[in-house]
Amino acid sequence: MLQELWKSPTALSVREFHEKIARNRSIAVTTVATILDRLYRKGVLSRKLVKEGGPHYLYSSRLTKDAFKHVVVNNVMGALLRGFNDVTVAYLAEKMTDKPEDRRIISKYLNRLKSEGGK
Amino acid sequence: MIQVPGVLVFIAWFLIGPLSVHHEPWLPTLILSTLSFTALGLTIIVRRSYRFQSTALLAALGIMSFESLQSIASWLHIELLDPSLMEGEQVRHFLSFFFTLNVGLAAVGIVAAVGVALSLELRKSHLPLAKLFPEMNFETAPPEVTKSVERLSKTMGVDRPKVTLIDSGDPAAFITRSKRKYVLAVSVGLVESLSTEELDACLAHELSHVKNNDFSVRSFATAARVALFAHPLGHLIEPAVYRAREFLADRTAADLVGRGALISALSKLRESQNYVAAHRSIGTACLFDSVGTNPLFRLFDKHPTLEKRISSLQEQ
Repeated sequence: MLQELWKSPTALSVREFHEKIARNRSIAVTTVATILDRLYRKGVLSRKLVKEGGPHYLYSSRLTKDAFKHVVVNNVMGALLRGFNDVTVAYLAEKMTDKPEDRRIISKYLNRLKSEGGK
Repeated sequence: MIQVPGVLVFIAWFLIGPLSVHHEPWLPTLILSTLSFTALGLTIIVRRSYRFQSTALLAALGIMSFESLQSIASWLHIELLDPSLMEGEQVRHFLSFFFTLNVGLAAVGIVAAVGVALSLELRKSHLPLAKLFPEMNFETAPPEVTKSVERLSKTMGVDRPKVTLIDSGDPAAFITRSKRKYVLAVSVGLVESLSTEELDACLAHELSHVKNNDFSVRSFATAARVALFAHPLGHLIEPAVYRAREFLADRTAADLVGRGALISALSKLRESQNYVAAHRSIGTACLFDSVGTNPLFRLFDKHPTLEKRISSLQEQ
């Protein structure tokens, strides 16, 4: 759903969203309205109430695609590290040493941590 | 549609009934118990008339409340019923503890019921909408919705309620009393996601609550439940009354706008409700009624599930 928002240059109404999404999957307009309302309440979207032509909201994203990715990863990883610290760190260390690029990222962070620890 | 709760109420009464014969005069009590038992039984036999179901349930609540009142009257040596039906000294002595207990519970219940009735009628209905629902923001209703409500009210023969718009994207509508007037509230989410016919069906459902005097029926059921707070059946019958009135409001609305539009609107709302149920989080847990799957908890739900409402309309 957010993909549609990032693609669109203007804010979209529930019906416009529904039109776009319903091309690929069967979904009721009420479900689209509910999802958008929840995203608004979570602070991901902003909206404006328009009364002309029947009351409706115009939704737009408060975050760019990259900022959104950052928020999602931050929330998920933050929760995992809080709840399962050892397991999460071990998993990341194991999985991220597979690729040379990931290893470079890890060693860069480790070096930074070492230098911060030395101060 | 209340057959399952009805059967359970029936069984519960069968088990609890004998315990209720603990105050004097016991024979009239037995007669009253049998009457309320019959009223509850009728709700199971007569399946399709929701008006009859709710009336029989209310009658059962009324008779049970009268039993409580009778205990107090009897304690005060006022005989509400024929004193010749009184039982002997021995029985009275045996039952004295239960009798005293019942008088105490009945007295507390009646005082609480009067309090609730006063609170509902004198305080709550006088409050402005913003104080009744502080978590919601209300906007002026759009002329399209106001005109529909005016037209439907005229057709149904009820006074036009005040119409207001809830500033929320979550599809919802309700009717309530505020400042001694009926107020019909619809959310932006409902207006923007339903067709004109579907929205009219939802508005007609809400107006049916006024046409069918559901506010008085609910107040009576709630006051009786509070009065009978020590009686488990009161807690089961009150939500059953609410549910029967919801089904009845659906029927009344379907007769006016056609059941197709109402079924279509409810089906759309069911889909979004199922979505929320499947993606439940702490934040969304309270968004919708009746999303619980445990049939035992549904006994205490004041709203029937959308599945049941849709299938009831389809069976019509």
